[in-house]
Amino acid sequence: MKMNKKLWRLNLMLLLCLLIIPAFDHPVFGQENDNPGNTSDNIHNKKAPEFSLESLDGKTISLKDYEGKILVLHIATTWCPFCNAEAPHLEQLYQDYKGRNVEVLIIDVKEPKELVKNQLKEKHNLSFPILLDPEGEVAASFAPQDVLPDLSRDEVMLASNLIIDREGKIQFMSLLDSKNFDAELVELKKRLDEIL
Amino acid sequence: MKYFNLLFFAIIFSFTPLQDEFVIFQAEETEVKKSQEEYRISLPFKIIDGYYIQAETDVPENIISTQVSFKENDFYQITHHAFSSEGEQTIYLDTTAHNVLSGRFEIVVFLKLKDKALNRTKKLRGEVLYQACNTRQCFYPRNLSFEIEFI
Repeated sequence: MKMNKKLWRLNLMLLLCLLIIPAFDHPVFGQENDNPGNTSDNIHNKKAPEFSLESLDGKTISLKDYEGKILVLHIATTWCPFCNAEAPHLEQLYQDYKGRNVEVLIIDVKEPKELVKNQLKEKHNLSFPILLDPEGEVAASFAPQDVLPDLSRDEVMLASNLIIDREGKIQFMSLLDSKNFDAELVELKKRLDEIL
Repeated sequence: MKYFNLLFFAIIFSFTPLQDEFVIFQAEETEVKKSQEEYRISLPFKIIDGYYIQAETDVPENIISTQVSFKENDFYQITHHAFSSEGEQTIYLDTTAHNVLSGRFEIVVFLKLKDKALNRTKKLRGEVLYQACNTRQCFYPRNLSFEIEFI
C-alpha cells in the first residue's frame, strides 16, 4: 500500500513536470500568438539568434558582421511565391536605405547554390548578399515556438521579414500572412523609419 | 506496470505530429473506362479545405507547378495525361498572376495496353509533386504516391 502511494506521487510529479516543462522551453522571443502576421509586439528588443552562413560568393557571413548597422533580413526559397513577389521590393528597399546604414540580407533555406544564384539573385537582379542555410537550422532558430506548432520550425519562417538593430536586437518580425500580404514592405519600412 | 504505462502514454501524447500532406488521393472514386485496348483512368484528388496548390500550367517560372510522374512498366504505355479542376483560379501576388487549384482535381490518364499484357492485373503507380499554401503560409513541396489496379 505504501509502495502504491509512492508510485502514485511519482506519477503525479512526472505528469506535472510534463505539463510544466514546455512553459520553460520557449525561444528567446517565444510568443503565444495564433496570428503569425506581424509579431513585433512579442519580440521587441529580444536578442536575435547568432548565425554564421556561407553566401553565394563563398564568403562566411555572421550576424556579428552587422554590429553597428541595421539589418533587414528576409527568409526565402526560390519557389516561394510570396518571396518572389517581395524580392524586387527588397532590392528597392536596399537601394533606398543603404546610404542610411541599413543592410539587407536573404537567408535561403534548404536549396542548392546554383539554383539560388539563378532563380533568386540573377532573376531578380539582387545586389545584396544571399546566404545559404542548407539544413534550415538558422531559419528555425528564429521561429517562435508556439506559432503554427504543427509545422516544422524552418517552414514557419518562409517569407518572413525581420529588422535587427545596431545592437543585434529584433525590432520587427513579420511572418507570412498571405491573406494580408505586404509585398511592398509597407509595415517594415514604417518600423525602419521609426528606428532611424 | 501501471506506472510505466502512464509514463509511456504521457510521453506519446506530449508530441505533436507535423503536418505531412495537404492533398489526399481518393482511390475509391477512381474511374476506369475501357475501349478496346485503350483505357481512360480518372484519378481523383482532394486538396484539404483551406489550402491551395500551384496549378499545372500558368504559373511563373520560379513557382513549383503541380506535376505528375508515372512508374514505368512493361504492360502498357501511357499516351498522355491531363489535369482537370473546377477549382482553378488566378491569384495575384503583387503584380504577378498565377493559377492555383483548390477543392478537388483529377488527373486523367490515357493508356494503351501492349499485346502481351492482355487479361492480367495491371497497376498504375505514380507520384504527384505539389507545393501548397493557405491563407497564412506556404509549405515545402510534397510528394504524394498513388497506386490503383485497373483490370
